[in-house]
Amino acid sequence: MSYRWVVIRSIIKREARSSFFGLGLYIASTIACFVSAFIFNSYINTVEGNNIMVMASPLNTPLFYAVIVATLYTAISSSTALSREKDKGTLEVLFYGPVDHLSVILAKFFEDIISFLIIMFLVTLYFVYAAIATNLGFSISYLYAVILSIFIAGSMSSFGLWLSSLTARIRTSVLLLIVIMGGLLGLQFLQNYILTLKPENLSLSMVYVMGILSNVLRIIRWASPFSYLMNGINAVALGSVSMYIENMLGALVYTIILLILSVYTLKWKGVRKL
Amino acid sequence: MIKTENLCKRYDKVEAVRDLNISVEPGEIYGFLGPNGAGKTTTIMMILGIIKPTSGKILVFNKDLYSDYFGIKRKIGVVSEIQYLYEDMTAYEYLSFFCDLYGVKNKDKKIEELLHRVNLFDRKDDLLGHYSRGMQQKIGFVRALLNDPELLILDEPVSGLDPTGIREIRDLILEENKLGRTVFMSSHILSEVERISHRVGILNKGRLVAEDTMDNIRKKLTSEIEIELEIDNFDVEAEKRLEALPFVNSVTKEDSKYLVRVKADKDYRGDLVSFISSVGGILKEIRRKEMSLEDAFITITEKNISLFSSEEVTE
Repeated sequence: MSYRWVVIRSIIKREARSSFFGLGLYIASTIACFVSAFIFNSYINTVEGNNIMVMASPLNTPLFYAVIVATLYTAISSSTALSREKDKGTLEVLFYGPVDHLSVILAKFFEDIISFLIIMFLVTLYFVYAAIATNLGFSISYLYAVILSIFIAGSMSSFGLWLSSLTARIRTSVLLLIVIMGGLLGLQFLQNYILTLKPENLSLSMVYVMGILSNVLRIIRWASPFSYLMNGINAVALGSVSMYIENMLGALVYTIILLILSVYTLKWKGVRKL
Repeated sequence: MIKTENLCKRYDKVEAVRDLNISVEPGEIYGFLGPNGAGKTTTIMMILGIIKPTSGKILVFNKDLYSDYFGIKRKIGVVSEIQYLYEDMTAYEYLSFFCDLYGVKNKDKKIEELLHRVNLFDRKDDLLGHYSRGMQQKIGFVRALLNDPELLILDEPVSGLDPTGIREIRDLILEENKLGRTVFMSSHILSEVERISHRVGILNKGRLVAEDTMDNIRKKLTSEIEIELEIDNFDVEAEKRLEALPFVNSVTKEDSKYLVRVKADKDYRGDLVSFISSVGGILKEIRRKEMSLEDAFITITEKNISLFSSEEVTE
């Protein structure tokens, strides 16, 4: 076994310990369960009101929201993972020893995935309880959704790590994440708004803006981890195998590219406390 | 152990390190000195691969760091000026983590032994965030020694410590050196460096201006040596004959004490004792006033001279 894996394993162990004893993991799990509970409650209200509810995979919608919460936690956690250590100077100390850029990035990435799996495990426990209590049965699509969510969490983590490698302060990382998330959502809303306008009412400049926006969103479809999340949700909801596989592979390629980019960015920006 | 060849680091228009050639031999304590901003920490960070040099070559254990990155790093222990610790961990957990990183076997035994050495074993389960500055510095040392390093790199290891803390760390460095570890230490506490270093390198404005033993640096910096004598039964005639000795440059008298400035080419104390005896004087005390490292450091850095060329360094 390469010595790098010894290093990665040791850092994962430390990070996992820090997550277990921190509040973030449990807060994210609780929010994910609350959001799901809210949807379960609306189902029960529907059944109470109509005496019937027809749905192919009733657990999928609450699961999607739970996955959104869990992946957002992953994005926030990974976007501060390196900047926090740079800010405190502990990253520099790691590099005094047998630690290199690749081992740090991989260790942080795998720890994010472990944390995500823990959240998903806790959420699944809650879903089992909810399924038994409400008599809403599990379907195979639940498993598909969970498997896909791991790839989406991977793309979120690699995106967050890249942002984190760019910055040396926790506050800057979080602000950057918020700005990028806000920007992406803003573009989406802008396009949706323009689409609501009647074509005959669009001025020439508006048509031009829409053309640019359409191209930007086409790029964002591949460049934003949030796109993989939304597309993944759609793939499972539609039961489209090709879309499911395409999304999974897309997220995997995205993750690998962003991890490589993070390693080079960290090398370029350095590991020292400023 | 460490060899740099024409090492340079440039930040935009600022040249932090210029054509640095240092050589640290196995088993020695090498004091790396320089005023604030001279480029000491930058050099250390380049040796550790944390900062990329602009040009030049660094060899550690006669190898390029990247030819065996993990192997070389596992043979080095580093203590920095400020200990950046995981404050949510206990001392034991922290050291255990670094044992895992370095692949230390029998880690519990090793941690216990080292914590006993720095008198922190009883505090092993305390959170590091609750440790004092001195205790944190000791934990930094313990961390650096976990892997039995062949080379210890210390960047201002006693900075900010009280006298007791300084002595404890000094004793620790000397003990480790006796065990065969090479020590490369930067410090601005010159008396400490003078006390324990076998050789020193002085860095000024990014350039190495001196690298030698303390004795040789003194010799290079001084053209005369001051010898303080306390003599009884020494009359005016004897004083005149003393001043006329070929190796004596000048004599200053205060009561029964004489400050004699002699040439620096050899040790003239024996000649002085023989002379005083020959003129019937009674020598009560003889003391050679040596140039301290502080004097040498100030002379070199303030006058901006290089002992390699014996000339002033031109900007």
